Amino acid sequence: MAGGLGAAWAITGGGLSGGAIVNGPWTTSLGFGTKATDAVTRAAVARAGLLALPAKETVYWSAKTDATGASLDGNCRYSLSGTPLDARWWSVTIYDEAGYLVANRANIWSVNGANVALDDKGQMARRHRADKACCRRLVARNQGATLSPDPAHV
Amino acid sequence: MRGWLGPLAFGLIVAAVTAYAAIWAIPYGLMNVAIERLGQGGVNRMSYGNLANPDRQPVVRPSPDLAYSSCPYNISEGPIAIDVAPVPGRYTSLSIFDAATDVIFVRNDVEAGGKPFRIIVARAGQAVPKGAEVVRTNHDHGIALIRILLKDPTEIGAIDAARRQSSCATVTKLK
Repeated sequence: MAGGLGAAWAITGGGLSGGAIVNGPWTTSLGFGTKATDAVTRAAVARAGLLALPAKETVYWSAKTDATGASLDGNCRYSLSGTPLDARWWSVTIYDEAGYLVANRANIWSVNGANVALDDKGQMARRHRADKACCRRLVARNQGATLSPDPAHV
Repeated sequence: MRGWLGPLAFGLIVAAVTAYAAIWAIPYGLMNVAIERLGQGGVNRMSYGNLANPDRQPVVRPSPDLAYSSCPYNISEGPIAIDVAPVPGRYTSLSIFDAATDVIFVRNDVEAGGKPFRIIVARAGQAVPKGAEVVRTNHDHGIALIRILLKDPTEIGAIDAARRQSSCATVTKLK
């Protein structure tokens, strides 16, 4: 029985990643919050995104790695770049592994369509600053929104 | 050699059944926790929460850009009425989740034409006000959640009066 309970917790611990739709490091599922969702997805979403809106209202993309495939690291600086998303509103929020907001000196946890700075080509290029720099390889950008290691710290 | 095959198979079956039962039960358990955390202001009443920050996160993955108003409900003794007044110029949405975490209703301010609307949440067979818009649910418990998008976190004070026009209460009159 303990094995069954442990298996249940492990099976439903995938978070909001592992969805059916993938774009670079970003993944989503259109089944969040719907009655048609299978029991495993419903339990996984309940653990990682309780009270998530259904896809017809909001689509939740989740990324646990950067564009190189390396796990996101709170010690690193990242650059978020790309074209603003075609939606009434969008935001990018950073959570810890458990899915909660992280205390930081700037008290900034998200960037959104109303406050993101655009360059003269209408592109966004926002750096998320960490308290410490880390060394990462420079990588090429993908299309759409990309979370890349800060090239200034190659 | 074959003496242990029977108990092993039985053990695997028990584990599989336990796993499935646990997977099925997880959403209900987490909804109960959320109802308790969001229900500090009481059940069948709207609580107007402060913005989420690292010290205040009632549920996982809150958006720091949204003002949440929440009404955990219990309709075992009768329906509730949720009145939503969209905040002018702001994305405002009502979503209702049953005890199994399924969304049973969603409407945003654009779909409502920017106008206030009332939703009755009731079990099958419960009497409801005539002409009301009713959502029937198979569960007594759930959460109604209003999301309001702020242009800036500092707006929370400025829109507070507007968002308190939305409310949640047990139905006392059927006409």
